[in-house]
Amino acid sequence: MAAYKARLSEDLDRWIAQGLVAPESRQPILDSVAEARRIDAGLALAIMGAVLAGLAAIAFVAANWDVIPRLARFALILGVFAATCGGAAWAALRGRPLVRDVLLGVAALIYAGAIGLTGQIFDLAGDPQAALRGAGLAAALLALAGRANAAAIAAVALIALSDFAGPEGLFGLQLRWLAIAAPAGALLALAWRSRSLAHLAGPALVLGWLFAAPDVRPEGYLALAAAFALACAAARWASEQERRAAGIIFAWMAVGALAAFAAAGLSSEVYGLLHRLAWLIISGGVIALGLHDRAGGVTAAGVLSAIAAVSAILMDLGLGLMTAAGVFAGCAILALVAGGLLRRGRVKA
Amino acid sequence: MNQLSNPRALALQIGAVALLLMAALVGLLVREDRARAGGQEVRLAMEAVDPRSLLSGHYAALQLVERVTDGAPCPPELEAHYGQDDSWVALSPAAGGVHRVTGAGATRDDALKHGPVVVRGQADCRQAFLAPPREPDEAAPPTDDRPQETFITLDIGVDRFYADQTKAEALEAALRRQGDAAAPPAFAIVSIGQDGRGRLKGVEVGGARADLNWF
Repeated sequence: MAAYKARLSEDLDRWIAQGLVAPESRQPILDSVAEARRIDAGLALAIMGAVLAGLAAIAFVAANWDVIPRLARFALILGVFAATCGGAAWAALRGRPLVRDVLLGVAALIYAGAIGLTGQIFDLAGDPQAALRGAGLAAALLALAGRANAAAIAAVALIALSDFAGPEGLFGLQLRWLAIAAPAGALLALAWRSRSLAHLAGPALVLGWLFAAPDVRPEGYLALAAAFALACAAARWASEQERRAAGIIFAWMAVGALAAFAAAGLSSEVYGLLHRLAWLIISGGVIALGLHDRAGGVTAAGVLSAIAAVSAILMDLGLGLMTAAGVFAGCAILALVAGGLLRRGRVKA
Repeated sequence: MNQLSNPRALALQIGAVALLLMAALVGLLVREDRARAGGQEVRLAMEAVDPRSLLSGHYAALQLVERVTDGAPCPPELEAHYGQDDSWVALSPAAGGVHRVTGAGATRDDALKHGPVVVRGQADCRQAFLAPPREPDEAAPPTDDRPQETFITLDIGVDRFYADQTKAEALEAALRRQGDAAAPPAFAIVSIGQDGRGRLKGVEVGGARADLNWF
């Protein structure tokens, strides 16, 4: 925020010199920008003291865990969860959104721990996958009830972990819960303008959709690429509306579209060299889009995809370097011609 | 995030969800306890396997293993359903008040054809020779008549018993001696509920039984 204020101050001086802003408006505009919150030494020591007191309490309880009766242990866990939620409710009443957010995130993690500890205390046989999934759903409920980013992040992470904890793991291609939870997380990120949630929901969505089901046919991957492209277009539109966090989702949807398109050709030999050429051209298009929109993530996705496409072509063609040179020269000519046409069209307009 | 609804409504929502989640946890506990108390109790032979995990608290890792030393064949259908989700294992009462694995099935009804008590899970049967293979010798009989031992490993989700450190170490030490003939017999006391799930009720080592309870 301090850097923004310094830049704004310089801009205001320039705008006043250009007659765009009245000189008397300079100070009110600067005053309207909140100062970055500074943490003084006293507050820092108080935070450290609270953290150390919490650690001391946890260590004390852990040291005496075995001698505490089972029901008392269970009550202790519920009490800690209730107190954390109570703190979040108090923060909501006092209008402290950051405290509410953090406490609900902590409550979501405490509840996840409570499920595991309850199973341990009372020797309940259970499925670890179901336990993680239950914890994820609980975190989602807390997130929705308290509009809490941190709890929503915990929900997506716990549901992802539950899918990864399945018998086949990540590459078992059964990330079905994540395939539903991740888009919900992305929508929440857009609705709440939460960049942190978008940073998790974006890659989770790519993983969840790409690894949702085993034995996907090439046409399935092409359909998935189209779905990612649609989501990409929607996120781009939201980004143009200056909706915070939409740019992050935009970049990840571009990654998903390119990855799904690549998977369509790499999962079988049906499309052959035609797929590789289309892949290279689409990658170039994504790079151009990223540069046009000044979206660094999208440009990076396009560059990585182009490198992968080039590598795939070289792998396919083996040692036929002359053929590879011909393919790349053809693509270069296509790119140059397309770029020239686009530029001419813009100049005419 | 910027346009928050009424703070009082937000606080009420948080409180309501917190109560709901706590009620869900208590409900799970009560349901499991009722299912454990109301299920059919069976005694299953067990042994120790892995060491205790420091990260998961003090517990003795259990493995439900039957040893059949007379070279008896494996019960039917075990191999066909091993590694499958939602399969069932049939148990039948045997001498000494113990239940033994007598078959498996894809459904409850299939498993019931092999024994009167059925539980969700799977079992693996392995036969091992108790002596090394004989050197090649033309005078030897064509068939291998070495003594065999049959191991049946039962997986019904009961794989650990949480206890305080002293109890867990004592139990683990006792379980590790189960291969010895002189070791006291050890059993897992398992309750099999109406839903077919096995729930640990306690353990019995050398005739001394330790039940799980609320305290």
